[in-house]
Amino acid sequence: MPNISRRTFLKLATATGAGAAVLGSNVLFQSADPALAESTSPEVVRYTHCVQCNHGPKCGMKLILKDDKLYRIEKRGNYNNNLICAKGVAAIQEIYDPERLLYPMKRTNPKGEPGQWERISWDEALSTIAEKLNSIKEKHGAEKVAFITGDPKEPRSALMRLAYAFGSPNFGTESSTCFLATELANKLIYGPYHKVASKVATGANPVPDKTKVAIFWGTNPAWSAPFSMSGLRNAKEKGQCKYIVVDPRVTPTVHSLADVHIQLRPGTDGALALCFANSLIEAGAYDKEFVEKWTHGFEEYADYCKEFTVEKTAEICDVPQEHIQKAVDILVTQGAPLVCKTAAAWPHHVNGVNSFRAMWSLIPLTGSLDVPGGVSLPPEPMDFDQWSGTPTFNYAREKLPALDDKRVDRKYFPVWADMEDYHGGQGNLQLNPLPEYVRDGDILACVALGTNAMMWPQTQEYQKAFQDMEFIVTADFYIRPQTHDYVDMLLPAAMSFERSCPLTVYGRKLFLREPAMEPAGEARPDYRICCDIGVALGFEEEFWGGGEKAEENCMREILKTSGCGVSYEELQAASPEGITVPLKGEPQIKKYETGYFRRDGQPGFETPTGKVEFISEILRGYDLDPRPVYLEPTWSPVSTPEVAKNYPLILNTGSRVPMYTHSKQRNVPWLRALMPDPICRLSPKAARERGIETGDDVELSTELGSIRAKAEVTNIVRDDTIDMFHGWEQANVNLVHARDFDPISGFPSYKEGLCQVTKV
Amino acid sequence: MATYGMVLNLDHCMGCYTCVVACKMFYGTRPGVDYNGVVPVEWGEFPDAKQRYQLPMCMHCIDAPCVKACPVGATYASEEGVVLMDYDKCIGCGDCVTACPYDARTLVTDDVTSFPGVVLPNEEEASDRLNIVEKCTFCYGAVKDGGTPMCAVHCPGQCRVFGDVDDPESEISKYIAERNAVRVEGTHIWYVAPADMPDEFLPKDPVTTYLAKLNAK
Repeated sequence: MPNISRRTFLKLATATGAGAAVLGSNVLFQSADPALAESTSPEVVRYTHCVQCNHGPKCGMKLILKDDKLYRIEKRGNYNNNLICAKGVAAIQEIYDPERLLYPMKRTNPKGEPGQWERISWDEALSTIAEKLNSIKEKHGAEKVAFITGDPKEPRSALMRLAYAFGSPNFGTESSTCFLATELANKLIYGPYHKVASKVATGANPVPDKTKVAIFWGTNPAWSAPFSMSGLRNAKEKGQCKYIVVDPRVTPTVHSLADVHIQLRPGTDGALALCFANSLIEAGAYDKEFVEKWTHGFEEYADYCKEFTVEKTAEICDVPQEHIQKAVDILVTQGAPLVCKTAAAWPHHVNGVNSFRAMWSLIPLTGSLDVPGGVSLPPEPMDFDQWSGTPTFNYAREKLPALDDKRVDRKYFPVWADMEDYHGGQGNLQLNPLPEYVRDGDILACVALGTNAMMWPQTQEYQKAFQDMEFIVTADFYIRPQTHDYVDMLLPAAMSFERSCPLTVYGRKLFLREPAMEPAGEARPDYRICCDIGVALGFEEEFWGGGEKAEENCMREILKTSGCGVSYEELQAASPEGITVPLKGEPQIKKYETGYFRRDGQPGFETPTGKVEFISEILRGYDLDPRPVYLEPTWSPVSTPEVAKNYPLILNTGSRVPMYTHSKQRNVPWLRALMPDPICRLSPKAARERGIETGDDVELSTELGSIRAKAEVTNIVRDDTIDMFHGWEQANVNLVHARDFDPISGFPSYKEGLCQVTKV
Repeated sequence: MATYGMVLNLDHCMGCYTCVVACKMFYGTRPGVDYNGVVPVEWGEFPDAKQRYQLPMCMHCIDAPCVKACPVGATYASEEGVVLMDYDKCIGCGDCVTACPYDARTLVTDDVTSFPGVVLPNEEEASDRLNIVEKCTFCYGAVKDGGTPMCAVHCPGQCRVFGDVDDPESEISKYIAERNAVRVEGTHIWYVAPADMPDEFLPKDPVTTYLAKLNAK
C-alpha cells in the first residue's frame, strides 16, 4: 500500500514516562492508548470473521481502528468460535503487506518466463476477458472454459453462478483434493445426497455424558482448528467419553485427548478400521436392530472384516498389538454412540475412499447415526451454506443438469462425476486431470480465483497446462511466480477485512460481516470480480449490473433464495448480533425413519438398495470392488520393497503446522519468524543413521527428483516416516510426488511416496 | 494491595504460538524482540514418544536480579510485584540482560520493522524505541484496569490464568488450589505440568536457572 510508509504515517505520540503509561497501550480494556491519546478521532469497531485458515464456520473477529488504521484484533464475542489463533491475529500484518497486488496486470512477455507485468485498467481487463472467453465460447463452446477457485473458499458461489450462466459445467475447487473424498465415501454409504453426506462427513464432536467413544482419526485440531481444543478438552474432563487418536505423528491432540494413541504406518488406516469393525462384530457389540433393518451387505462386510484380526492388523499398521487391543477394548466395553472426527488426510492415498468407507461404516454399525451423542444431523437444514451459497443462487439446480454431459472429468473419474448432487447446489469438476484436459483440448481457457499450481503433484505439468491455455486470468492477493509465471492476466483481490461477502452461518444463525477498510489500491472483492466479469460477458441482468453494490446484491439474492425468511435489512439492523432462524418443529432423531435422508421424503436412504450400504451397489455398477477393501499403498516398504531399498522412508506430506495454512502466510513476518525455512522432520533414529542434526541442509529425494530442506530432528514422527510440510516455493514437495490417483475420487496420493533424505 | 501472578498450564499447551503473536500484535515489537516464546521439548521413543512445550517469559522474580543490576533505576518492580521498565531512564547498557536468569530481556539494537522501511499502525509506538531493553510487563497497563494479559486473552488452549494471588476468591487462586499448581520459587509464576514431564524441562527458581545458564556457557 502506498500510504503506509514511515514518513507518511503520522506518529501520534512517543513513549512517555514510566512503565505503566507506556504499557497502557490498550484499547481492549478501555484504558487509554498513549499512542492514540493525542488523536481526537474516535475508535471505530468493525465485526468480521477470520479467513486465515479454511475451516467453516469461521472464527469471529472484532477489529479496532482509528483514523482508518487497524490497530488490534479482538475476539468478536458474540460468536460460536471465539478463540483466535496465531494465524488469525497475524492477519493484521498481512493486510498491510507492501508486496500486495494492487492493480490489474497483463503480461508483456511470453508465458513460462518470469512474469513481466504491465498495469492496466479494470475496464481493459474486463473487456479483454470478455473478448477472449466469448470468442472461445462461439468457436468451441462455453464448456471449454474452466472456472476454478482455490483459497479462500468464500467466492465459490459467485464463481459457480458465473460459470453456469456462461454455460460451462466445468467449475472446480481445491476441494477436489480436500474434503470431498470423505463426502464421497459417505455418498457411497448413504446415497448421493449432498445434504446428508456432507453433514455426516463433517463428523461430530463428542457430547459430554452422551458420547461413549470418540475417534480422532488423522486429524490434529490443535493445529488445524485451535479454537476447538479447549472445548474438546473440557468435554473430556467432564464426560465419560473415551478417546482413541489415530495419527502417525505425536501431536498435541494426542497428548490433550488420547486414552490410546495408535501411531500407525501411513496409509494403513483402512486396515485398522476393518479391525475395529471385526472386533465389534465378533463381540456382538454392534447395533443388531439397526443393522438388520436399515443396512445392506452386512454378511459380506462382516466376512471381509474377519481377515483383520488384532494380531494381523498390528502387523499391517506396524504398531504394538497391545495398543490396538486397548482401542478395541474401549470400543467393545464403552459401547455406542461413537463419533469419528477426521479431515482430508487419508483420502490422499490411492485407496483413500475405500479406507474412509471402512472408517465411516463404524457409525451405522454401532447405531451411532442421528442419535444424541452420535453423528446427528441438523434438524431442518437450510438450503444454504457459506461456501456454495444456495443452489438457486449458484445456478447448480437450474442450469447444471442441462450442462452435465459437457463435464470433462467423467471419462477419468466417473464415480466422482456421477455422485454430484446438482439439486443440492453441488458442482465440482475433478481438477486433478487438468494437464490432460488441456492436452486434449477439452479446456482452452480459465478464470481462476486464488489458485496455486504447487498444490498438485508434478506441479510442472499443471504449470504447463496453464501456459498452454489460450487464455487464463487469475485473481490473487500477491504475484506468485510458481503460478503466475504461467498466466496471462492478474486481478487484485480484496482481502478479508476489505469485503462484506459472504454471509456467515453457524448452524441456524446468520451473521453479516462488516468491511473494515477500503480495498487497497484497486483491489476488488471477489464477489464483485465475478459480477463484473459476468456483466462484461453480457449477463447484465444476472449480475445486477456489477459494480460497487455487487456484494450486497449477491447477499440479498442468497438470502432471498435460501428460504430462511431473514432479509438483508433485518440482518443489518441486528448486526453485529446475528439472527437465528427458528425451527418449525421439534428436533427429531433417527430421521431416516421419517424421510429426512431422501429427497423424496420416504423412509430409508438414497442408495440403490434404499439402505445404508456396507457393500456398495453403486461401486459394483462401475465394476469396482463393492467392499470397503484395504489395499497397501502404491508405494510402500511392503508393496514395493525394491524401491524401498533406495528410498526407505515414507514421504508424509500435507499435514498442518500451527503457523501456516497450506501455502499461505509465508509472507507474514510474525508467522514466518516461527518457521522461516522448509522443514523436513526426521526421527532421532532416522537422523542418527544419516548423520543429520537439526538445522542441517538436507536433500529429500524420490525416484522423481529431489528438493532441499532444513532438517528438524523430532520424535513426533515415526522412524520410518518423514514429515515434509508443503507449499514452499523453494522446496515444493509436490515436485517429487507421483501423479497417482484414487480411481474412485481422483484424489492424489500425497501421503504414500517413498523417499531418502541425505545431508547436503 | 494485589499481588499479580500467572499460571502456565503446560499440560494444556498445544504449541500453537498464539501467545507469541498476540503479544507482538499488542506491543508491535520489532522482529526478534519477543516478550514470550514457545519451545518444544521431547522425551521418550516410539511408540511412547512425547513432545510438549515450555513457555519462556519474564518470571517476574520476587527479588529480581535485573532490578539490582540496573545502574540507573530503569528496571523496577511495581507494588504488585510486576517487573517493569522505564524506557526514559534506560541507557541500554544491557546489564539487566546479563543478569536475567531466564533470558527474558532483549536489548533493542536494530532499527528494523516487520516490513522493511514501513511502520504498521501497531508498530508506531515500539518503532520509536531503540537502544533500550524491553520485556514482558504482564500487560500492566491493562491489568491495572481489571484486564488480562494479551497472551492469556488469546490463548486458544486457555492454559494461562492471571490474577491476584492474594485474593483467595480470585480465579487464579482457585485454579492454583484446584489444579495443585506449583509455584516457581522466587517468582510470580506457577505451573501445572504433565505428569510425565521430566524435571529438567520444568521451570526452576532464579538461582538454579542462573547457575544452569552460567554452566551452559
